[in-house]
Amino acid sequence: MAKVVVTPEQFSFVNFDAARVAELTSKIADKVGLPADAEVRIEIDEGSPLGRTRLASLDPITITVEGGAFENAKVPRSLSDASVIDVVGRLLFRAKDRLSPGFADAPDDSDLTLQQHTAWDTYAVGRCDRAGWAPARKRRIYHFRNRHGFTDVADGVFERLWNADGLTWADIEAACAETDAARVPAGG
Amino acid sequence: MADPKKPRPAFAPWDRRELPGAFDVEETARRVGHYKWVEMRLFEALGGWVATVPELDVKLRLGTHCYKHAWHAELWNKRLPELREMNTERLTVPPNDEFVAFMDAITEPEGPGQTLEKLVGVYRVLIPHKIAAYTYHLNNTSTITDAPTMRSLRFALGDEFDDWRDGEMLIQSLIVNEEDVQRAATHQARCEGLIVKAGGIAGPGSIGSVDVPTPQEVTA
Amino acid sequence: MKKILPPEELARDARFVRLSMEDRFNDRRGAGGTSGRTGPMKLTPDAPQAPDRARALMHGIFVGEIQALEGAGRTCWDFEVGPGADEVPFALKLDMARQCWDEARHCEISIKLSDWMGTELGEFAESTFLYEAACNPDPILRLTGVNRALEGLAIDVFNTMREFGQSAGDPVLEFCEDWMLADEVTHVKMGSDWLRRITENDPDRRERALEFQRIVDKLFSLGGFRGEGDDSPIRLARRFREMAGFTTEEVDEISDLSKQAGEEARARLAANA
Repeated sequence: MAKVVVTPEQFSFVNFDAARVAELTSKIADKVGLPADAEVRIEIDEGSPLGRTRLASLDPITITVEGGAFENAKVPRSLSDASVIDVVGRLLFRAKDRLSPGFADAPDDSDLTLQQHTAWDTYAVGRCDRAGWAPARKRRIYHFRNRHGFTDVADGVFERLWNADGLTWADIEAACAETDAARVPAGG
Repeated sequence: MADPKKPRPAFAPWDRRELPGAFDVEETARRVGHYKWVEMRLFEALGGWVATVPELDVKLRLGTHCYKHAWHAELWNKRLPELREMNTERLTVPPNDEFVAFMDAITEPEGPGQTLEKLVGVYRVLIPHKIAAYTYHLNNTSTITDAPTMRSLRFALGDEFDDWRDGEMLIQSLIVNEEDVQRAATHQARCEGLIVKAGGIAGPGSIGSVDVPTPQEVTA
Repeated sequence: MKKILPPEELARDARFVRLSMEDRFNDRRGAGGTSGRTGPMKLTPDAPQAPDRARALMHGIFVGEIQALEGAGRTCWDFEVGPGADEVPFALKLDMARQCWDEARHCEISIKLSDWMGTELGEFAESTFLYEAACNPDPILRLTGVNRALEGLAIDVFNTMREFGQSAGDPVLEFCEDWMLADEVTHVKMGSDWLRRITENDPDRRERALEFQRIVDKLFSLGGFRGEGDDSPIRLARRFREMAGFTTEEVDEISDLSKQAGEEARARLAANA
C-alpha cells in the first residue's frame, strides 16, 4: 500500500479532514497500480477557493491542489469525497503513465498545451470510469470539446481516448493532431 | 376571363354566416368583463404559485401558463371599449359573490406540499368551466356582428385546451397512490360545488340552459 | 395565498441546497489564496479551467432564472391594480406575466445547456440574492432592483457568455445566450419604461428607486468582477444596456460603482493577507 502524506494536517480556513483525504488517496493509489513502496503527497492550499490541480513531482509523487478542487460545491468549505476521487484518480493515472517507458518523451506538465492536457486527462479519466469512480463523462466531453473543437472528429477521438488502455505519449500527440486537423476556426 | 363588373353575392355560396346571435352588445360586454376578471385572477394565482411549488416541471409550466391567461385578460380588456364600455374597470367584476368564494377556494392552497390541490382546482375545475363558457359563447353569438369576440374566443380556447392537457398530465403524474386520489377528488368536489353555486364563470347562464319547456296541456 | 413571500419559503426539490449571503461573503479565503494570484480572471477559452468556470457560471445563471421567474410571478400576485403607491397599472402586471413566460423559457434553455455542458441540476449551491431584491414591498423599487439592476447584470453576463461561446466555438452556448440576451434587453427596458412612467410626477420616489438600484448594482458588481476593461471577467455590455433604456450617464455610473467595488474588494484582501 502506498504511503500517503497530506498537508496541512490541520485546516483552519476549511473543514477538510486530512485523514479522510489520505484514506481515499491510498485506496485510489492501489487501484491505479502504483508500486507498493510509492510515496504520495497531497499538498492542499486551503486559502484558495479556486480549483487548480497539478502533478508537481514524481519522486515523491506530489499532487498540489487549490482547496476549491476538493470542496463540496453545495456545502462550501466542506470536503467532497467525489471531488477528491476525481482529482486524485486522474492525476495518479497520469503519474503512473509518466513512470512508464511509453511516456518517457512526454514534456513536463508546465510545457503541455491545453489540448495535450485535456487529451491525457480524458485517457486517465476513462480508466477512472472503468475503476468504478463515476467521473462525470458529460463534463469531460464538454472539457474535451472546448479544447479540441465541437466536431464529430473530436467526439470520435474522445471516445477512443476514454476507452483506451496501454497508450503512449505518441498516441496522445496523434490524437491532438487529428482533432487539430478537423478544427473549424471559431466564429467561422 | 370573368367580367370584373359582373355583380357577385356579398356572401359567397360557401359562407353560411347569419346575423342572429344570442347576445346583444350589453350582454356580450357583461360576459367579456367577467372573462377578463377571471383571467386576471387566474394569471395572478399561477404567477404567485410559481415560487411555492418545489416540482421543477410544474414551476416552469405555471410560469408559461401565467402569461397565456394574462394575454387573454389583455384581449378582453381591449374588447370592452369596442362594446361601448369605455371604463373597462366597471365591468371587470366577478359575476357574483359565490364566484369570489370559488376563486378564494382555488387560490387557498399555498404550501409546498399542496401542488396537487393547486393544479386540481385550476385544471380539473376552473379551466374546464372556462372552456365550457367560451365554447357556449362562441357557438351562440352572432357570427357576423360579434366576429371580434369570436376571434378572441378561438385564440383563448386554443390556449385553454393546451393548458388543460398540460395540467391534467401533471396531475396524473403527481397522483401515485390512493391517498393522492382522495386528496384530488376532495378538493375537486369542493371547488366544483362552489362553482355550481356561482353558475359558472359568467354566472347563471354561462353555458346556456338545458331546460326543455314543458309541453302545455291542450284542453278543449 | 399571502402577499410577499419571504425568500426562505422559496420551494425547491431535494437537489437544491441554499447558501446564505453571510456564508458567501464571509468566506475568509481570498480569491488568490496564498499563491499570490489575486483577483478574478477573464473567462476565455484558453483560461485555466475555463470549461468548469463556464459550467459554474451557467449553473448560477440557471438558479438566477428560477428566481427571476418566481419574482415576476410574485409581482403578478403581490400587487392589486390601481394608482396607489402599493398598486400597479394593469399593463405592468401584463408585462410581469410576459416576463414569467420568458424566464420559464430561460430556465428550460439553461436546463438543456446544463445537460450539454455536463452539469447536474443543483450541482452548485444556490444564493437567493436575486429573489431577495424582488421582495421589496414597493413595486417600483422591486422593478428597479430586479429589472434594471439584476437583469442589467444578466445582460452583461449573457453577453460575456455569448462571446465565450463564440470564441470557444461552442455553437450551442452561443445560440442559447444570444436568444436569452434578446429577452433580457426587453426586461430591462420594461423596468426603465415603468420607472419613468410611474415616477414621472414623483421625483422623490424615482430617486429612492434609483438609489436602491445603485445599492443592488454595487452589491452585484461582485467585488470588481464586472467592469469595462478587456480583462474584466464580466464585461459591462454598454450597447445592449443603452438599447434597454439606460442613458450613457447611468452606464457610466454603473462602471464607476464596479470600479469602487473592485477597489474595496482588493483592500479587503490586502487587509486579510
